[in-house]
Amino acid sequence: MPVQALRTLVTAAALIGLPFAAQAAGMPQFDLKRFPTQIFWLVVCFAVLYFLMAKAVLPKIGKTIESREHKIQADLDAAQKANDAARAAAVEQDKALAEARGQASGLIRAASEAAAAATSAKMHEVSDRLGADIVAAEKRIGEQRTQALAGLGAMSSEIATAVMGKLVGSADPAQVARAVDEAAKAGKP
Amino acid sequence: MASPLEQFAIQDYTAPLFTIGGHHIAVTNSAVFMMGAVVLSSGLLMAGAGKGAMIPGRIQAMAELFYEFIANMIRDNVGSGGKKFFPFIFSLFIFTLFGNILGMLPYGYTFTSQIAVTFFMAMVVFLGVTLIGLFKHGLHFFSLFFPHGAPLFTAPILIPIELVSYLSRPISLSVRLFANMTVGHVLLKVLAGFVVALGIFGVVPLVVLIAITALELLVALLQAYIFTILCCIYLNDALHLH
Repeated sequence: MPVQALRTLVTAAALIGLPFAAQAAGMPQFDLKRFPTQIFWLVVCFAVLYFLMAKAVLPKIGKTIESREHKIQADLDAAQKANDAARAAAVEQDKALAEARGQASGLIRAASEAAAAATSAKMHEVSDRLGADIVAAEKRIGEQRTQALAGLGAMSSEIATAVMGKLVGSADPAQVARAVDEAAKAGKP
Repeated sequence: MASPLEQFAIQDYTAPLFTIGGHHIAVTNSAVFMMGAVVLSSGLLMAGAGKGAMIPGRIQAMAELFYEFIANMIRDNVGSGGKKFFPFIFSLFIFTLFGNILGMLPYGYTFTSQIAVTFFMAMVVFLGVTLIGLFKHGLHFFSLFFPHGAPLFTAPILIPIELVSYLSRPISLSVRLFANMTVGHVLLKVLAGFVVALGIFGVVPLVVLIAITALELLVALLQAYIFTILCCIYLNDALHLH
């Protein structure tokens, strides 16, 4: 950059020509009479600055930076710990979940087995009872049929006796019954 | 037109306050700006250090930036043995930096453009560093002047060279800062003279003047940094030899 080059050139010229220029132009910087004053103020000012920096400013800034680093480190540690805890909790939870799932499926299996057993037992019982009922009913029907069939002969002879009584005026029930019996036997296919 | 060197003259603002060894001490323009640098820098830094908040504000962030900048510089260039000298190095940097920057203000005075100031600072650093080296290493300190592993017969050449280079350290350290500051301000003054002298065409040097002003601000920062880091390097030499 040209500005930089120009500056370097002037600096070089000044450095080479400095001792001569200083004498010729009377550079105020080389006025030895003014040295003690400057050095006095330099020592005073620098001492004040050094004292303030060393005693007040630097320890405070150092402490702040250090405590910030501590805080950041502590926060990072806490975050790491929390992360670990969360991870452990997740693992624990997965385990508990799997356990619960296993338990639940076991329970479901047991329950469904029990239910199936109960159902089949009930079905057996019901079908047994129904079978017995059916048998009893069939027996009853048979009895009633025989009874009805037996009653039919007596009723027929009674009716025949009554009809004969009306028609003929008298009838021997025993003879009528014998005749009805024979007729019933003959009429049977 | 006034000479561009006139700006460097020391002026008394008061009558001599007292006398030390026959020298009258008065408050001068240079002294006022030194005090200004001290007041401004310590004021800013104290304000920055004040609350010590976990989340720094602007001024605190600036103070911490300076702190870490110099702390890193010492850690990188001197090592852990440099911790003791941290306040001194820090003060040196702040003093030089504020001196350079305050000199850039219009009507300002640059006390770092005074060879008396820079040479005294450089001499204090040089003598201090030499004493630290002697104190720490005793006579072994003089092995600094003979590079480790060099053939013995080169000693008659190497030792004078190393000795001269060592002894010229305060000169190079002080002249670098003084010359940079002086030249920068002479350049600004000369260019400013052109701006006035050329009338309407003065805009050309004015543009250059603005560019040079920006460059001088950079130089002000850079020279404070260079001065400080060279002190760190000298200190490192004294503490660890080569």
